[in-house]
Amino acid sequence: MFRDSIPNVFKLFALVGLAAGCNQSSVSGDGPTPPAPEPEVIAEPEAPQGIIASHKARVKFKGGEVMLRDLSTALDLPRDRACGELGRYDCIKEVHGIALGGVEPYHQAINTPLEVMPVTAAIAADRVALSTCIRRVKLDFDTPAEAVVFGAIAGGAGVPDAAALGATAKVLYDRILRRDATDDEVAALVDFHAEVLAETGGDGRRRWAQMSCFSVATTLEALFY
Amino acid sequence: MRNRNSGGGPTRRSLLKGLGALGAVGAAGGLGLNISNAQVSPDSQGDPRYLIVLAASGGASIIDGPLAIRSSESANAGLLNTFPDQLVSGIDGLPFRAVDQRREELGQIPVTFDANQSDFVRRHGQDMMVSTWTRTSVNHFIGQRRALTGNEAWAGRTLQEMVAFTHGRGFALPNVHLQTGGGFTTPGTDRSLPDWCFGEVVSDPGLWPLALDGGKGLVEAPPPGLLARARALRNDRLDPNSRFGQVFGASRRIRHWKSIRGERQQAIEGADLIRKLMVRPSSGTFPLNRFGLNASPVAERVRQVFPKLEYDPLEAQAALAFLLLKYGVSVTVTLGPGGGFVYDGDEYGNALQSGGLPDNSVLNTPIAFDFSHNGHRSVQALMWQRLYRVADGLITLLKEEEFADGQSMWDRSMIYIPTDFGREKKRPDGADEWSTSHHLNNGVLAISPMVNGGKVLGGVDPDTALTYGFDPRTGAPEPGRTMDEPQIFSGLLGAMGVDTAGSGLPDVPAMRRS
Repeated sequence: MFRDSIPNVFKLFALVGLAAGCNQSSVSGDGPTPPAPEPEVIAEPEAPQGIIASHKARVKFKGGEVMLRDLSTALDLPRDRACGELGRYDCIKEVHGIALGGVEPYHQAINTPLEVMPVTAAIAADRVALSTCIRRVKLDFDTPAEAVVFGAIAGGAGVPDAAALGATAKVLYDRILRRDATDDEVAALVDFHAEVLAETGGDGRRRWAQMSCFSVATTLEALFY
Repeated sequence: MRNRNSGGGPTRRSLLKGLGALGAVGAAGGLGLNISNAQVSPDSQGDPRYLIVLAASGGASIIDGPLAIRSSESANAGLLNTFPDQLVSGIDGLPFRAVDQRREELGQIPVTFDANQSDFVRRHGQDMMVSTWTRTSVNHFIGQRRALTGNEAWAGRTLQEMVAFTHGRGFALPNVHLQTGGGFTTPGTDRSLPDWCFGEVVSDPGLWPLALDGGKGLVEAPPPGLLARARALRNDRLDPNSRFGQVFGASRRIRHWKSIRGERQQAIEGADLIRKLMVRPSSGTFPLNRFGLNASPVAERVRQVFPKLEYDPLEAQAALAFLLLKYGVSVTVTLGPGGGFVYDGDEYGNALQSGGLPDNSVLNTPIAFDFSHNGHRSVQALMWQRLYRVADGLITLLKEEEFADGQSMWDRSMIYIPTDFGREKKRPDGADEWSTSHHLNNGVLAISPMVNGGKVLGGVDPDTALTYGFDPRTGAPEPGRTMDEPQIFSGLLGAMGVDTAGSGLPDVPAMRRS
């Protein structure tokens, strides 16, 4: 019986589709004409060596709360003290939560996540990650003997060597993305130390630690799943 | 105790200066251009118009404001929503009415308050235009949405989106929604519009500016140049080379994410909006100064006009709305009273023991205009006054901002006051306070030098309290005719300079200033 009814369902869908099409063309006219909406995947992705690109590419944004929880876990910080604005406002619950896909039904009647990711979301995500990374770096550099993430560079002096930077890069990938860093990724972070020196002077340890952590924590891989 | 349950105009010269400043941070695309769609949007950057949607949630009844009826005018005065003659003012020969009254209760809330409409009508009547219409739904959400889409008359595009599309190309955040939830701020259904046409949601005007810079205001914030290098490392090396980026890089969500973390992000940060748009002053509970931030350079003037912005959500929205327009960030802003009770007085308990809340201590009713279910006359009085005060503040500030060639920003702005629907016209015989349900018949107020100001388009029958329509070309009243949502939607689009050719919408030149 189910099987027999399937064609009828298809017919119904076809009729609905036709009706919707007629309706839209009758009301929209051809006023200022924006471009046609892009499909979910616009082009055949190129397949890099050894990697097959997904045709469906269905990924979702983690959302601010999961992002911060994951990052605070990765950096061994209590969630409630991982990120605060102006020293007193919780980054997600009070400040950036809505922009980062949260809801607030009680006072603001936002019952579902925003349909369109706001422009400020990317800035907010950067800000949350940077604030959290700075906090971890401060703890590790203030008490190097108890360092959790940056032990390889927190206690030393002078420009750190590539081995220490590389070891720290591996720890960042291991903790934040839960996988081993590739050689290219390690090299990218090690190379970045020269840019830190160019920008800030000194030995660059602390700034490199902050910004490397930030860079990994805001990769697409860290924010989407 | 105060209840804190809230959650220079861009002249051509200043726009150019802004572009120059952005260029300094490498935002070659400038002010958030969506390059891929730029060719389809009209370029009105040198000649923008500004839309302020001041949403009257809950049902603002036009016959409790500019179309109030005197009892002596109606054959059914006692049974309809009419006012004692002495409460209804006519202003300087204008067709509008104003009701000034002192009430001793607000529904069941024991508070005395004064409601004044005449000051506003006297000051701005020449720019006021009331258009009558008959709505198609008495559901709040649907009525709200249809007030901004003309009942989906143009492929479901909203008024704000079309104003952004027409005037907002090149603005960092063309369309900003400061009111959250409800139908006034839902995105339109035509997703073929460029991304930047859709509303950017601001959940808290006081805290939102903190989301306008990735580093400023953080402890040990990195220098901007270093932050830029770290982002470049991520965007240009880590992401493209990661397995995740290669497998899922074609995702629509990821492509959108990449777009908003690129030029648009740089434009926002480069313009230092985290400081320019900061409406709240630094204080012990909001220690901006301790974190290297400060209030907007014009915050003091804004606070003079909106002195309650720290605890009145609507004033906070209005303050930020003005700054968004002034600094050339947006071309349309949407704000409005929320559904929360806003109280500006002593402890409730102390006040109630002394017989009631202090005079004029209630700023916002629960559920805004819809509290008319509990007390129509008083709630409409308080809430109309609330809208008028905020509109007056915005007009005052916009008039102080030069646009160009002697024009102020107000000369290019419109305040549109949409509402869900009207309210029931009948009342118990002679009642001074009663409850009302929802009603399809109503009218809508727009205030602007660009509309057919000083006019009531249509009219109201004093014997039924129902409004009637007008000739869309001439504006001549036509008893027996009703105006529908697409007509008013189209008339507003026309006043905002939006090209509706080919849309199928009716032309309503009567709503434009000739």
